[in-house]
This record gives sequence, structure tokens and C-alpha cells, in this order.
Amino acid sequence: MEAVPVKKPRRHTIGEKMIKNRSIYMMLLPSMVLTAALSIYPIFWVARYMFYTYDKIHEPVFVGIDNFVRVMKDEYFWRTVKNTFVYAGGKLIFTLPISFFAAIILNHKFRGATLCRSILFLPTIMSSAVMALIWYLVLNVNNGAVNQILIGLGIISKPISWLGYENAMKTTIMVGIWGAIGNYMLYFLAGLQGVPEDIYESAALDGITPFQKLVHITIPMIAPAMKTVVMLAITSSFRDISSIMVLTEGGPAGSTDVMYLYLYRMYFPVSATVPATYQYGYGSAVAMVCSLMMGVITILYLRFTKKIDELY
Amino acid sequence: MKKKFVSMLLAATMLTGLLAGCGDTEEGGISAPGKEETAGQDTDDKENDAAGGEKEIVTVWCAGRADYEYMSAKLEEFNSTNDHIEIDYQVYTDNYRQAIELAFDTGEGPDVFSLGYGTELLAQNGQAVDVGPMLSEEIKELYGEELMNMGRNPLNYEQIITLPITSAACRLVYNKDIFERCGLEKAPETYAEVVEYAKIITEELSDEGIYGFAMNLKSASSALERSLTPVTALNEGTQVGLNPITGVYEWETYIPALNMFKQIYDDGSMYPGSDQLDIDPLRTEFASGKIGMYMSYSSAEPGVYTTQFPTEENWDFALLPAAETAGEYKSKNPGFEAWAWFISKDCKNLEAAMEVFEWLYSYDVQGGRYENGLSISIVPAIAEGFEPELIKQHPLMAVQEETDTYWPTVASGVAPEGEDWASMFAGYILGIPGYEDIDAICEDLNTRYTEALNRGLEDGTVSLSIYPDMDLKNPSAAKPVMVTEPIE
Repeated sequence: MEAVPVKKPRRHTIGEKMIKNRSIYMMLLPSMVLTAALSIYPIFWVARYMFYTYDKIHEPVFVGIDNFVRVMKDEYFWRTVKNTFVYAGGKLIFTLPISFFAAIILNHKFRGATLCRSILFLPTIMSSAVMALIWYLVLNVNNGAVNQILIGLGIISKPISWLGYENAMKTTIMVGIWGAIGNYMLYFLAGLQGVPEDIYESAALDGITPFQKLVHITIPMIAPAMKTVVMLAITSSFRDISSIMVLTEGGPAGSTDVMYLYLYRMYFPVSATVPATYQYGYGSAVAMVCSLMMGVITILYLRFTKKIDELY
Repeated sequence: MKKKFVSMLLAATMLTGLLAGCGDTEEGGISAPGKEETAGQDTDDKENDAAGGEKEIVTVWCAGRADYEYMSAKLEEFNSTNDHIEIDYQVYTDNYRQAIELAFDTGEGPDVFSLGYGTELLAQNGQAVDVGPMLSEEIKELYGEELMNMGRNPLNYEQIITLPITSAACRLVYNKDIFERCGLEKAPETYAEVVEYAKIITEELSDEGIYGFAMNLKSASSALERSLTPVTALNEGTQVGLNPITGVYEWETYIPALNMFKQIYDDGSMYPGSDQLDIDPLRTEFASGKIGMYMSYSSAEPGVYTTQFPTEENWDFALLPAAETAGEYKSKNPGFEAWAWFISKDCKNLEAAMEVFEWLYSYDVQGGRYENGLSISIVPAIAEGFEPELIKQHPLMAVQEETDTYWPTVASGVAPEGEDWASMFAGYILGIPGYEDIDAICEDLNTRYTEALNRGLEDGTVSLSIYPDMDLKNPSAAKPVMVTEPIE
């Protein structure tokens, strides 16, 4: 009996595949172009100019690693780094637990749950600059609502300087927390709604307590989502400058100045009368150092969560 | 039904918030700049006209809309009567600096543009053409040699790249009603008197929430550039820390004036929350009669208290105080050239741009601005030719020949790392821990600013002009000497 040759399927070339999937590539194209122009190109731009002195007016001058030496010696920059950790740490410590427990409470069906969710989510959809401006007015020493209410209630006898040196950092953290809770609550809520109800039902039959339910079912079940949410919270807290810029502009005397605000001023220096000086070269070096720090924090966090995964 | 109503209400609220967010990107100055065309102008139509060869379009960009209505009327008149030029006048409300630099970078820049004091460097470094040889006799006569010298490029003194229009000098702004209530018959004339008067007002009226003095220290540079910098230039002759005669940093010259502000703060005479005030919130408090004195630019306040924050308070300007003896100053008050016009080197039709440039500087246009209280003219013929109502009410709004002058730029592009001078001085005034030792602060500033100056001189990013023959009583007459070697 004569063997019938098996016809091997012909492999498509890359070009053929691209033509075949052209509609997919066409749909991807706008975002690819935008990513290349707005994310990838700036990285190369920064990577180049961090070795130059460049003020936008004069031709760039190659200075080798001088900018990095300056960063290392720049005491004020390291002070802003310290402030960044205080701000981000303070914000994270409160935002994540509050968001998580708000999500757990609002995951239950009760009258007004939707209203509560919407109220908590409202600050998230507002521009953070507008939000901070409202807080700036509310916290005004002399005629801000907060001081007037507290004085009216007899809680304080004289106005508190909420954005003065002693309270400025605490206040900016508080405003940051207020603006972030809704967002992370929503992420946690999405994770919680993915937990199958029947697990809770069978656990209830075994007589599980609410605390055990939280520790042994809820947290392990939403752990993957939680990992991502915490990651997002860490990176955004470190990069958060808009509310600080509106509330204190980094003052008084640099007490709320964070590293990305310092970096911002290298690219957008503002002065009423003194000629503005752009520091694109030094700013690029600062940006690279900031990014490296963020990279290290991310890696440490990922390693930490990996260890946790291994343990459980 | 009720639930549906609540949902609709929430959706509406959220949409409002969202719109506020969108609005912020336009108004807040963080993203794209707002841009407005003047009334009655249509770019497409103008382009069509140009395509038909009827009129040459000259694009003019400027920032701020204080004189928007006035200029709209003038432009309409120009465009309807001029048979060969059409002005495309664009007013930017936000991020003008970034917008104009980006436009020049991408070849989309205007033919004629205005720049403030802070951005002169862009013009000085070749973006602006030398208009000197093209100026008409009429304009030369109107502005005179002294004003034309002010428009010279300090990096290339042979070039005239602009002409000054307005001047704004810092003044002490004080509430006459409050002074009267406290038995104070005149404005303070010395540092000691400012401290004393602030204390008297606070002691007498703080129960009513009225305090002697205020500063907008939320932005330290904004606060100190309208108070500490001019009062020190007037009394010590230094400009942003630099000695203009030697080019050496002398931040210690700021100590006497700093101690005046610090004493006011330590006495409790500073308006509570001054460390978190912006200038407009400060002005609202002043307008409501809560502040005895503050320092600011003479050009802005009359308009502010007439239209922005109308007030019933009886207020006026006083000259900045002298360090020790009333009326005795070492130098002159630096009135600064608020805005000036330049012609871009990329301009295709220089002749047409020059005609527009001269129209913008004309007696008619600038005189009208002055008459309407939109600027304080630095041009003697204009200042003498009109009697603006606001200047009648506040004579010290105008430039005072005896005490005010234009100060030439000494250094541009100095970029020290670390905390800037304004933030450190604000820390000292507010008594913040770590900022108590003013001598150490000044020494640190001298070291860091000198390092930055020398580093910039070495790599060519700093422009330093010193004025060895400067008479501190007449700084504008001094001729610059470019310095390229590091300063010891």
C-alpha cells in the first residue's frame, strides 16, 4: 500500500503573520507610538543628558559623571529624599489599612452601601490640585473652616497653623490619605468581589469567626490583587507631588519638599523676578537617582512578597 | 425611585468633580497653556487673506490678560486701518515661558514676542534680533538714549534687543485707617520704625484680628523678591546676593533687612499664618482690614484693590524703609522692567515685524495703557502726557526719579544645588530649627552660589556682567564688563 505523504502545514513568515494580524497591529499602533514618544524616548533623553550640563539656552556641555557627584554631595536633595520617605511612609501606613477595611465593610450589602462607596470614591475623581486647593482654603489659619469649627466647639482656644512648620508634613500626609483612600478601596473591593461566596458559606457552616474569615479566607484569596494594589500605592505615594505643590510648595523652609518636587523645579523653575535657570542636565541625573531608588524599593517589595508567597 | 434619584445626584456630583479636574489642567498651569485670540480675529480668515497676497500676517505673542480688552480695541483699529499688515495677537494665560520656548524649538514661534524680566536670557542668547539699526527717529526721540541703553543686550552691549515699557518698584503698602486708629501719623521710614509700628498695631488691635505686618511666605521667593531683595538693593547695593561692582557674592548684606522681618515675627506682629499665605490670600486679608503693612510691587496693587479685591479701606504706598536714617539710602530701588517686546530671529518679514514692534511701542498704544492704569510708563514723555486716575490717588505708584531706577542684570544662569537663598532666609525669619545661625547660612550661600557661578563660567552656561564704574546712586548708567574667568 502506497504511503500517502503527509502535508506539513507551511510556517508563516513574520511578514505574513503581521499582514494576517494587521488589524490587531493597527489597533495597537496608537498606544505603541504614544508609549515610544512619551515613555521610552524620555528615558533615553534623560540617560543622555545626565552626563551634560544643559540649561536649554546654551549648547549642552559634556561633564561626565559630575552631575552624579553633585547629587551625592547635594545635602538638600537627600533631605528631600528623607521627606519623601516620611510622606510616602505616613501615607501608606494609613491609606492601605483604611482602604482595605472600608472595602471589607462596603463589600457587604446594606442600605446606603453604594452611597458610601461613591462618597469615598469622590476625591479620587477630583483633580488632586483642585482637591488640595480646597484643603488649603479649609485649613487656612485665620478663616479656614477647620479652625473655626474647632474654636466654635471649644476644642481649641486659638487657631492651629495646619500648614506651618510643625504641622505641615502631617497635614500634607492627611490630605494625601484623604485623596487616596477611595482609589485603593475600589481596587480592594474589586478583589473582594472576586472571592466566591460559597467558600464563606461552607466556612460559616464550620462556625468560623469573622476574624478567622478575614485571616484565613479573605486575605489569602485576594493576596494577588493586594500585591498589585500595594505596589501601586507605594509607587504613587513616592511620586505624589501635586497636592504638596498646592498646599505648601515644599515649605516652610523645605520641610515638606519631596524629591520629585525638587526634580520638578529643575525643569520648571519659577521666579517672579530672578532669571529662571533650567537645570536639565543635573535634573536628569537627579531623575535617574530617583528612578533607581524607586527601582530598588520595587525590587525589595517584590522579593518580600515572593518570600511571603513561599511561606504560605 | 429614591435610590434612582440618589444615583443620578451622585453621577451629577461626580461629573462636576471630573469637570473640575479637566478644568484644572487648563487653569492650573501644569499642562497645556491656555491661549486666547483677541476679539474679532479669525486665524483662518487671516490665512486666507495672506494667501490672496493682500496682507502680511505678523504673529505677536504675550502673556497675561490684564490689558486684554484695551489691546483688543487697539488691534481691531490697527487691523482695519493698516492696508498691508494683519496682526495675529495671541494672549497666553498659563505656562507662557514653556509655550514660547517650545514654539521656538519647533519653529512655530511668533514674529514678535514679549518676555518678562525672568526670561530675558532666551532673548539675550540670540533669539531676539538687534532692532537698534532699524529704530525710527520717532521712536528714538520718544524713548531717548537712556531708555534705549536699558534695552541693550548685556551679553552683547552693541545690540539693542528691546525697549523698556513699564516699571514696577517695590513699596511699603499700608492701611491708613489702621495707622490712624493706632495714632501713627506717617508711614515708617526706617527698619526700626517698621518693627515698632508693626508692634504698636498688633498690641492695639490684635484682639480684633488685626496685625502689624504680613508676608506671603508660602512661596519664599515670591515673598522675598518683593520685600527683602529690593529693600537690600536700595540700602546695600547688592543684586540677588551679588555685588554688581565686583561680581562677588555677599549674602551677608541681607542680614539687616532680614533681622527687621525676623524681629517682627519674633514680636508676634507678623500676621498669623504668614508662612502659608500666597500673595492673593494676603491681599484679601489686607482688603478686609486685617493687615497693617506689607511690601509689594507698585504696579499691581492699585488694580488689585479696585477690581480683584475691591476694598473700602483707606490705603496707600510708602517708600521702602531706610536701614538706619530716614531718607538715606546707599543705592536706588530696583524698578524692574515688567514686560518688553522682542523680534524673533526666525521672523520671515523683518520689515513688517518692525512696523508692528514700533506700533506696540508707540505713544498712542503705550500712552493709552498708562492712561487706563494698565502699566506704569517708564517713558518720560508718556508719563508727563497723561494723568491716570490711579496715580492721582496713589502718587507713589509711579516711578520716583530720586529713589527708583532700572538695575542692569549682573548674572544669569547661576544654578546652585541645594536649598535656594529664599527658602533659607524664610527659615531664618520663621525661626525654624536648623536656620537660627544667619552667619552660617550666609556663608553657606556664598560658598554654594560662588561654586555654581564659577562652574557656569567654566562651562559657558553662566553670563556674568560686572559694572566696575557703577555709581550705586545711578546703576542704570553703568556699562557692563563681561566676565569669563572664575571669581575668587
